[in-house]
Amino acid sequence: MAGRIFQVVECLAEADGVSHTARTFATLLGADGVEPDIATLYASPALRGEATPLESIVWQPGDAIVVHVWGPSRLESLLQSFRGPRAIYFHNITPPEFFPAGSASHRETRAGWEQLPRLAELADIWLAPSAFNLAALAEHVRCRRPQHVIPPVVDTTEERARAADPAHVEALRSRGEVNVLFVGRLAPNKAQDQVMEVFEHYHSRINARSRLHLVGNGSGNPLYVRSLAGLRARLAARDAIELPGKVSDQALAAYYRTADLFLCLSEHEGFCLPPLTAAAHGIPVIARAAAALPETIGPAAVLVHAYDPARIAELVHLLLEEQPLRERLQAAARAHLTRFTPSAVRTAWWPALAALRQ
Amino acid sequence: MAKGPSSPDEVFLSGPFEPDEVERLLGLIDERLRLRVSQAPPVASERRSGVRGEATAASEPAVLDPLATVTGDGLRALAAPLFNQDRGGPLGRSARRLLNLPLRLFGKPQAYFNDVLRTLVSAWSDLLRGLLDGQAVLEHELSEQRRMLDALAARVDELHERLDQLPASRPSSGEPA
Repeated sequence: MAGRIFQVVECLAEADGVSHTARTFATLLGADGVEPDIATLYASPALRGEATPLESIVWQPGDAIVVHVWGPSRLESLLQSFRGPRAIYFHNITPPEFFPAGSASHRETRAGWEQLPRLAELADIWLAPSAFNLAALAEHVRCRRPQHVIPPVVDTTEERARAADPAHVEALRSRGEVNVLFVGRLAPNKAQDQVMEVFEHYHSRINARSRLHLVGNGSGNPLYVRSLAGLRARLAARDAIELPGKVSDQALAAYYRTADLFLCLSEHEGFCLPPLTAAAHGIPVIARAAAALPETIGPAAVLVHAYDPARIAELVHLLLEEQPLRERLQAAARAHLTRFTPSAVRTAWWPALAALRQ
Repeated sequence: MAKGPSSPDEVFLSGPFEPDEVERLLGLIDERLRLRVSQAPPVASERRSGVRGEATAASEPAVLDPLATVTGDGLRALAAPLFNQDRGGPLGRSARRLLNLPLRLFGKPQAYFNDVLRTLVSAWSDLLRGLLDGQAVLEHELSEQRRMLDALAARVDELHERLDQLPASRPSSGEPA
């Protein structure tokens, strides 16, 4: 009898990208022998029904583990002591250079990159949501292991059916403005300051009836958040720039439902789900051609290869103005998103699962 | 996927479009930018250095803002008490390297002092920058409050006017007409 396969996540929480990916995989791969419960050191109260405390598991011969890695991990000892097949799923780690020296984020990301070679050597298989991540891993580690790209699921039907807060939808539509959206935690590598600068050009020179929504948690990088608030206060478009912080799932669905354009100028992303979610909603996406973005959203977006706020603002205007362009993008997005359907992702898992069972 | 040059040897955008389409988009973008030149100048680029504290784009202004440049990295570039070996021609560099030899030996206390000073100034610079950001936020909030107060005052005036225009109240049914 084949052993069990556990996904292991250090901390399982709501509105967290790594947890979301692991939970989607758990649901998707039940029929393929992956345990429906995710092994964790900690699970938030709302998700305890989907989690099994790591210390309560009695390992059996033939069991295998897939450990999610996204920063410094307390799961190194598990990888060391575990006797069965081990895989790591590398979500990537933001390079510490993006954060001020001495800050908590700088320390954490540096610790993550320092630990990564040890985790990679302990694993038998390397998995990642993008080839970019696998290349980054290989560049950082001397050893080599079998590698598989397994993207997260982006289910267009499910995304469009997601319940949106009606009051929020109404509030976002009532002004009759162009809504420009970016979703992601407030962090220097996500370059929300540059999104603001582009919007400043668009709002003050092209279309004053517009609003920028920078949705995302700001608790991780207080220095950057404070700088963003300072920058916003100095911009002419300040009254049209909203920083609502972390929002509920229903409010987030409202933002996607009412957005006219998604603008992503991230300089470092290991995958970046929000632009794909936006594409699933039929929203035109402009993204920076940096890190994993050309691979993950590139075929479904307009990629900008140089940071020029005035020209990007004109590009935003062109996309909003020309319906045929948007239709071309939507058609490209429909084709690209077939890579991320539940069945496609499940198929992508099979070689890795077969290797874990050997 | 087609890519379009924004200048003869630079790619600005790419997308799921034909090369002709990308060329058209780039032409439109540049044409519209030219047309907007007469409008108010943008406010963006000089603020970047204060936001992320990283190396800024080549398009940054040549005139340096002291608050933006007095950072840890900027101060560390000052070589004192040693001579800066990276400046000048080959002869000058060699001379500075030679002059630095005794300074390295006997200038340790001064070097230590300078290092501590750099750290302190850098920390004060961060603090000042933070205070300026905070002040900008407060100024913005203050202007918001002022605007709200103005709107409320206008509304009160409007209501006063309406009250003045109201007819005198009718007598109740129990009173004689």
